[in-house]
Amino acid sequence: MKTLVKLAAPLTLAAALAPVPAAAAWRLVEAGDTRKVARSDLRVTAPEDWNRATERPTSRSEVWTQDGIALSELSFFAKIKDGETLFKRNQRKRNPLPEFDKDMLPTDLVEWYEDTANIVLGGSLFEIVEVTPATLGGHPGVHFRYSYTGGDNVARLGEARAAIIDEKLYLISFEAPRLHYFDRYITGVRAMMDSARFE
Amino acid sequence: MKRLFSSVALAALAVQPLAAQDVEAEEQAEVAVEVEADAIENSGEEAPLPSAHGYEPKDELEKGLWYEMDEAEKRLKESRFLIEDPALNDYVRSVLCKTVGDQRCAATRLYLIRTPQFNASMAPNGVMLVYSGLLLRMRDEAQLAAVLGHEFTHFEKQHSLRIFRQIRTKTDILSWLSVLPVRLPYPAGMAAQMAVLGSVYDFNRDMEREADAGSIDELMRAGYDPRAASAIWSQLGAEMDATAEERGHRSDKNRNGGLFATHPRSTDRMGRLAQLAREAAGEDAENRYTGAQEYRAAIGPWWSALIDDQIALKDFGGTEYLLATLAGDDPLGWTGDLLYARGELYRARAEEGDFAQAADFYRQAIATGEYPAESWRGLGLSLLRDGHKVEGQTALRSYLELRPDAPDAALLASMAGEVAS
Amino acid sequence: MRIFIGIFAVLSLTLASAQPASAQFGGLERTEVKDGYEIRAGETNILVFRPSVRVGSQTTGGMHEPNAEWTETAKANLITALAEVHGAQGTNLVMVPEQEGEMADLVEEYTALFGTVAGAVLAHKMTYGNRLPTKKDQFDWTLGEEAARLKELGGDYGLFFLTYDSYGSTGRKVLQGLALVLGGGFVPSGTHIGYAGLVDLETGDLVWLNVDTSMGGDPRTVEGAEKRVAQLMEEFPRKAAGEPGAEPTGEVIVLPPPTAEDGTVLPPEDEADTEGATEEHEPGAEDTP
Repeated sequence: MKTLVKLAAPLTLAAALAPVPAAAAWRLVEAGDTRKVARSDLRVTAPEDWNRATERPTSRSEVWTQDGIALSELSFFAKIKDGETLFKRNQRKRNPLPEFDKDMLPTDLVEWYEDTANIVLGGSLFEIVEVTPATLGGHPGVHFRYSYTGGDNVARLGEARAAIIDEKLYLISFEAPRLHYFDRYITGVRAMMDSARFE
Repeated sequence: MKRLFSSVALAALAVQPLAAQDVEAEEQAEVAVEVEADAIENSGEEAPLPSAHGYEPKDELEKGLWYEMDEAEKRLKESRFLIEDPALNDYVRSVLCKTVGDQRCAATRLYLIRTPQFNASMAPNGVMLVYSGLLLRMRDEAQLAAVLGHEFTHFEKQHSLRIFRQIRTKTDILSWLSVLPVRLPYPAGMAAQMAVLGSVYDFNRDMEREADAGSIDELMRAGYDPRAASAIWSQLGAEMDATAEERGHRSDKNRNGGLFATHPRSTDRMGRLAQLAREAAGEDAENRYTGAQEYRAAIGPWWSALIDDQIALKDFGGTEYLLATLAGDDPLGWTGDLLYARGELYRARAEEGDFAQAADFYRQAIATGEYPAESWRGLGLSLLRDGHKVEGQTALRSYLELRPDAPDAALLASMAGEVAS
Repeated sequence: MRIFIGIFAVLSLTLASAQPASAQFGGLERTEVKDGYEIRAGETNILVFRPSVRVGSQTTGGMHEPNAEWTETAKANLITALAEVHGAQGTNLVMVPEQEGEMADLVEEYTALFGTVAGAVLAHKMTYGNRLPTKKDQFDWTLGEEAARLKELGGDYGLFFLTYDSYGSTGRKVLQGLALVLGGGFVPSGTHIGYAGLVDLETGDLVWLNVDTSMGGDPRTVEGAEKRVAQLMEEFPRKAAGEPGAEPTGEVIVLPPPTAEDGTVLPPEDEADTEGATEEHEPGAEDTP
């Protein structure tokens, strides 16, 4: 009973992560830089300046932002294995996140992401807008667009690119408020998703 | 812990939610409230009722409550969780007005909230909330009328105000608006729902009896079958038992236990309601209006959305039961809609054998001839997961012929082995 | 046991910080102003938006009774105090009434966005050690150029507020207008955090932001209200010197709501004119507690 009192809606999906500490150090990623992300061999090239958090939300992910996570949030996930969840939450067992399954179809990946979001956001009118086939680092995968309203009552748009490679999940997601912020960055983000490479 | 529970239970008494959890006896002792009739309630006939035209709050306390409620209502109007569909709003409102009469109905403002809980509540200033999870569970118009009549009685008798006066504690107005939104997956959804049911509601027996009796009176006056009131409780109780049973197979993550596993008072209440209905209508109940078809027609356009919200709760046991009972009273039994929903339920669970089961339900849905096009999608995906590639692709192609503009059409086309256009 | 989701979520002052802000920012008070920014000269109207509310979840039920009269008094006092501050520098405050339909949605969405932007400023600008390299040297946050759509309401600037009130005893006020912005402090315990920010509607840029995590002053008294307003308006951008001669006097303009329905937001003695004509008052005219 008591634990429920603490169940407040996070503002954004990123808030599900073990939160980036308030005093995380941010490092500049300069336009044109190519970097390995989420401690994997996946490399992306930044088309414009970004800030990257030196603290990883989980050992398999990494977060970049332009204006603050709640306003522009670029997340990289890599090498998520069968039976693992997208986010690691030292959360109550009461509310487990759904597990990734290596046999998932591309459509299942999208539903799994949606289920994860619904739990993390505590119900938020999360909606999948469009799903298309796509590639990530040359491997077949899925690209999907979504929308939701976070706990701050701000309507957001998001896009994600995902693929299962060697039975492991790789996913890049970007989300930002529908007003101004999403449109401001999405073109560059799509370019980054397109230019992701394994080397 | 108990202390916390009781204070919260009291904190939410400004409104009259419908569904309740019976607290353990000892806790009940803590939270029980002796209502001593004070001047205002006692004056009975002479004092104007809040449902009367032009009623104004009387004392400081009531003024203050109304003020906060009015402000809360402004926020409510901005909520993204409101169902604004005029047709559905008009229907529910028409049932309320038919039940309590147009004149008293004028004192209320009705809001439909999209959240999969079974609940409804009413505030002292005449604001009534009806949750979509309640609409999903009602079988006919008479049952909806029973709920609305019950809530209206609480409102008209000023129960929350009376309790508030007694306890002299701050009522958390906002809690009244803090509903669980759509698609909050089980078990979070269930656990939270338990909390809502368990904490918000503790009118004392007298008030409950009054509201129950009131709802029977309203049903009789409006021509509905009064047996609807007890039927609601037996349905809800059985659904909760199913949920608890399924949960029992899991490691027990839920410390609240089965909600209706021990609900003597609800059983008691069911019996009392049935008794009241017998006294009121006798043998004539058979001939009174239930409005099952009218109800289904009104809810129809929303039905699949409500089922989706329910499936997203990931409450396999409760949902399975709910689907079965929705089918059970229907002369046509399992309709295409219900079979499709069952397929989705099994496909989402994705355990051993579930894909084969799901495929079977989708096929049955399609066989009815009247089914959601998404049945083909579900069938295709279930078959693919079960290793039947060719048949799966064929089913996906059937879906794409019916829904070329589906949000994931391009992806499905590639999975179906076609070149995406 | 209350679960505020979507409609009322706990305001996380920093990213996903589950701690009540008060625990970390006891008494923090910071102001950011865009370098050298001045309010444009001439007749200037500042739109004052109904605040976005965030409430924390309660712990235990305490003693509190809603009190409509206190609320009204506080509101009147605060408006008067604000009018004096702005009158002194010749800007008009336009109280934006409840909107209907599309404009209501727009106002709601920008108010919510303001809250999130303000939170980002607090997290990444006012919190040392968390600063973003790309924004190292400037106060550079915006609601976007589309915010110009709000100018239709009759102003060049938008004054946005956000409050986060969490009471040990759950006594929360959901008030309209300014009493909420600054108000609710009728309960001694708990947190009262206020943000106030000025947005230049020409560009959508945030030009001034004041964050105060422990607002003082009891707005039920005239002095208390003045104290709060003074706190809240610290370092508010000055107005650029205009042409000599016609120096406008600041006043509070209360617009009638677009539809004269129930739940009106006007002070009781305000006779709304037709055709949405603006009713102008002497500063403090509506202060009759």
